[in-house]
Amino acid sequence: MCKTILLLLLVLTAIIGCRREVGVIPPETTQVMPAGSYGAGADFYLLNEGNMGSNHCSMDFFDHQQGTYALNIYGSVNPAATLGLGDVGNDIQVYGGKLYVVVNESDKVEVLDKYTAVKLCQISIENCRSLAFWKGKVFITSYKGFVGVVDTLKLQNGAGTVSLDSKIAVGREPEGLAVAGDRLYVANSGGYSPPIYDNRVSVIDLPGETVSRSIELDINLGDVQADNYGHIIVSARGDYGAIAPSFFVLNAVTGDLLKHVEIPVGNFTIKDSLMYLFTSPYDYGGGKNQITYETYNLKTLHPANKSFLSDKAAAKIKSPYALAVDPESDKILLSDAGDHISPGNLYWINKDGAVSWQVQTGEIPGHIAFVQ
Amino acid sequence: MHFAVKKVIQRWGVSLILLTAVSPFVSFAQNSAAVAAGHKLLGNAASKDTIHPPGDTIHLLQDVSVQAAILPQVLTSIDPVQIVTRDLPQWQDGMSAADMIRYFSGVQLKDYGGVGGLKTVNVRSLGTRHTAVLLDGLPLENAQNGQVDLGRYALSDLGRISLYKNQNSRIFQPATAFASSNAIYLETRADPLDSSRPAKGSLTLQTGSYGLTNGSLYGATKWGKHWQLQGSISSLMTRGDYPYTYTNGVYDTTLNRSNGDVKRFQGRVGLYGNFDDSSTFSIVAYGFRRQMGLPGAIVSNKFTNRERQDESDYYLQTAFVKPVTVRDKLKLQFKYNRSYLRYSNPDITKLYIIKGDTIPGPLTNHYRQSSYFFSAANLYKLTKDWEVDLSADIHYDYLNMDLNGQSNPSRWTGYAALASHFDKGRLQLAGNLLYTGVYDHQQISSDWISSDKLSPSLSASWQPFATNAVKIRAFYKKSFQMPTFNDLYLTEYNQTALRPENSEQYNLGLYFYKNWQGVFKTLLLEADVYYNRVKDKIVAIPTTSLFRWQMTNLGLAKIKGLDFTAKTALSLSAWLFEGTLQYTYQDAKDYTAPGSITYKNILPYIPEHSGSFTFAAYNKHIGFHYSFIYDGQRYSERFNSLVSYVPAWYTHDLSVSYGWQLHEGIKSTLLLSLDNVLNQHYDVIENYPMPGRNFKAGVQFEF
Repeated sequence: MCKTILLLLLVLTAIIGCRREVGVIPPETTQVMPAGSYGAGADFYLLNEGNMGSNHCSMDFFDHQQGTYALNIYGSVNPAATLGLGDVGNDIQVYGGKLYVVVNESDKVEVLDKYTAVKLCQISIENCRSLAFWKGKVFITSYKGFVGVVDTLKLQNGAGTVSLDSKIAVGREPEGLAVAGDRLYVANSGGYSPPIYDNRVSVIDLPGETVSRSIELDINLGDVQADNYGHIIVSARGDYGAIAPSFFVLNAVTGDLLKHVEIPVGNFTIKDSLMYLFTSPYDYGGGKNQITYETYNLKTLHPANKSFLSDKAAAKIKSPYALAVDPESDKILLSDAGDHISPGNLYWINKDGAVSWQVQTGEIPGHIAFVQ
Repeated sequence: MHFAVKKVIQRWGVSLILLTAVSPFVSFAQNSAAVAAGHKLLGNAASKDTIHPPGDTIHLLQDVSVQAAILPQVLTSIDPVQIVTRDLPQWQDGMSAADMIRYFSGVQLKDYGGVGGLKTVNVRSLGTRHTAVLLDGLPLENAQNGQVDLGRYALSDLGRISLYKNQNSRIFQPATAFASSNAIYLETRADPLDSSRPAKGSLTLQTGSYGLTNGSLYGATKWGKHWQLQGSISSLMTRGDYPYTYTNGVYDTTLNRSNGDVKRFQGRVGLYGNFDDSSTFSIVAYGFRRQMGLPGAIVSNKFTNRERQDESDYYLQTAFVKPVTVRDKLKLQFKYNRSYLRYSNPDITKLYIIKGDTIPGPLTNHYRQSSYFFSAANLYKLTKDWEVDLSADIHYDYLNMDLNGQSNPSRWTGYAALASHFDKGRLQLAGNLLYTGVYDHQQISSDWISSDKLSPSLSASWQPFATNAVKIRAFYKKSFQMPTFNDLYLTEYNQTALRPENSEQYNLGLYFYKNWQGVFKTLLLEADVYYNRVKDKIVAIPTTSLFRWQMTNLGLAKIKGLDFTAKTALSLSAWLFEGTLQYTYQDAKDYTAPGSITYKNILPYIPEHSGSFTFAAYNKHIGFHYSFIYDGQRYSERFNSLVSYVPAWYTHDLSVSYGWQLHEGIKSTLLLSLDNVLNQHYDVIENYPMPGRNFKAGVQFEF
């Protein structure tokens, strides 16, 4: 019997032998297309949000000349960064020579080298959401009800953790923000207190860093973007029930409302005169809504009446998420977050609305920053 | 239509309960001689009741010399069962029921770390909500999220924990007990008393690492000829600020867990009656309070969390068992449960409407749940070998939440079960058919919620040789779990039409037991292979907004597994040696979408290999105990990759005890223990660090 026990112990020890730690995860590079076949275009970083609490926020890099897509580059470039990029990425943008990554649940904005993605320093800001830049300053919305300001000159290699220079109080749970001239438009959502959502855009006078005006639109405001025709586009996300999402076109100088467009917009992006958008299946209680992929002409302020995605391509996409257009070409980038708990996909859409290429991303591919 | 269903449930429920309750009394007019004869005929069946105090079995356990013996329930059960009692040396060292469940095979304990961390159990990869947790025979309800936190139940207050991988084969129980894929039975401590020992008590004091103090007092006394009164109180406090380490080989960070403090109090008083006609009656009142911090996930740049939870729980439960005729026994049970939970997060400011004004304040949610439970069971002995049971239960759950824009959901659930148990020595057969009807007051557009369902279960065991202790057993069970209030109505979630989760289980097992006189005392070997199918798992999926999640039914999982147990005892002069080995193999895979990247991936948090080994050596005074627990590598997400990879973990725990007679009638025991001896830093759930090496010292007085 003792022998049996000994044998069992031995078996057990053999099993125990394999406690394998992962260590630094190397990036996985995929040849998406033959080198040189992409044509004119820009490289980009894609930020995968990762599920809340998972600490799985990750960053991918697309090299348009090589045609390669490197999955999960942050860890290998910055192995010494404790616990990596962090929890829930929410925005990524390039400004000057630096790449800024907003990591919402990690209460920080990572400041990286634009070309190498080497970490230079980080900005400490609670519950941060989105970024904008103006005259060498970075502006960051925080769900704590303010826009944080930091002079980017401070954000040098080795600066460690940089705190905010100032905070500009805005509405509740501000989301998107955009600069037009000397003004910053901030969308307030009020998402922590449903059904008492916020419905205002705070207009900040940038030289004075004060809120000069508050514009009432619709509940639960989301994204804000500026176009080249003197417009500010603000999306409203509704209440996920009876009140549908829509978007507003404001005069970028006066802040006056020019048009309320009742298209239930999910996410959108602007390239030249066109606003590319997909609709939101907003009424979750009322069954499935068809998602459509539309364009809206910002010059004429009328729908362009053409889907940018073919039906065949649309059928592949379960949960559209990130949307961007290559600034050097007209290739559209559209991500599919899938079931939101597994890796998603990124699609390159050509001018006929067909999928040219596709690649697997990290969890919840959400935001794209081009390197020009 | 919904209303019609409600009526159906109420009508059926009430009439079934009446039927089960009344039928014995119809034949009550039979003469007392027949009743007396019936007691003889019923024989052992009487001791199968879950009503306390159970008597004989506990008596057996108290005797150290038979501690090594395998419990009779394990030997007679048709279905695979595992039992631990207070006599397991590790019991005195544990903080809660969860600490004992770790030693079972086929079980994954989801432990968020620390004394206060949520601890739920997943049996054979079916998912938490498929396991019923019953306390003294009645289900612990959590209408809100369907999961029972086993970290709440102090071991000082319990006497025994059993895990049935199908269901308890004692069919004389509430219909609800048949409703889950598997069940954990917690039984409160009930020491047997007799005329030579009319009162008993014990006091336990414990202290340990991270500011742990734990105290409990138990007392039981005879009250007249038929009654026994007993009560217990316990309290536990800890700072929970244990150090943890994360490393990738380049960075290496060690910090102390913050906001992990816990204060826990509980008390119970029970009155148990045993009467001359073998009928029993019990009434128990229980109170629980726990205040604690929620330490949260450890993520980059964020190592503290300020969320708090304050909860209390009260229940009153009563049971009455009466043998009414030779063949007929009746059991009536009632429980009223009230629970309160206050959750707060000072990092989130929310607007509250107070008397017409909107006032900002830290996010604070209150949940108040009231549950009423009524059950009637009627056991009828058709022949000497064959018993049938008809049970009917009605539950009513009401949840009051102060989340904005939501009314308060309530639910009626009716269960009725017809069960049969046939025992002809070497052949045992059991089966049941369960009816479930659910009606939600706050109805959403789901056909499922308002529909009725029937689910069957069948078990068999057979001893092929009369002389040998070899037994072959098998079972099949189909069950389903309703979406919970959280799934359906919580504000942060979208109201969705959900189907219930379905599970099917197939099990085939082999069992060997033998005992000898001499050095080598006992050997128990058990091996079961199983195949499970889980369909329409209910999961939360985020939408494009952080504030909104969507609940959905997700696909199909297939689980193939093996549970193995070996248990043996040896005695050498004055020493007794015991060893138990548990091993679990699971092949649990996602079969939702062929062609997708998650197809045939391993289910989250299911290791392929896991197991435990315990060893004890003791004599009259001194005991040495060692336990080893191993959980193989797992993945935290549906897609298996290096990103979602969670390394294996194992802990070695050591303890030593010394018992002596302090005074006439006072027995004392000193226990010193060292857990996680190798100071391994590990996560059971990704980003929720577990404590490293820690010690405990305790003393117990029994009088």
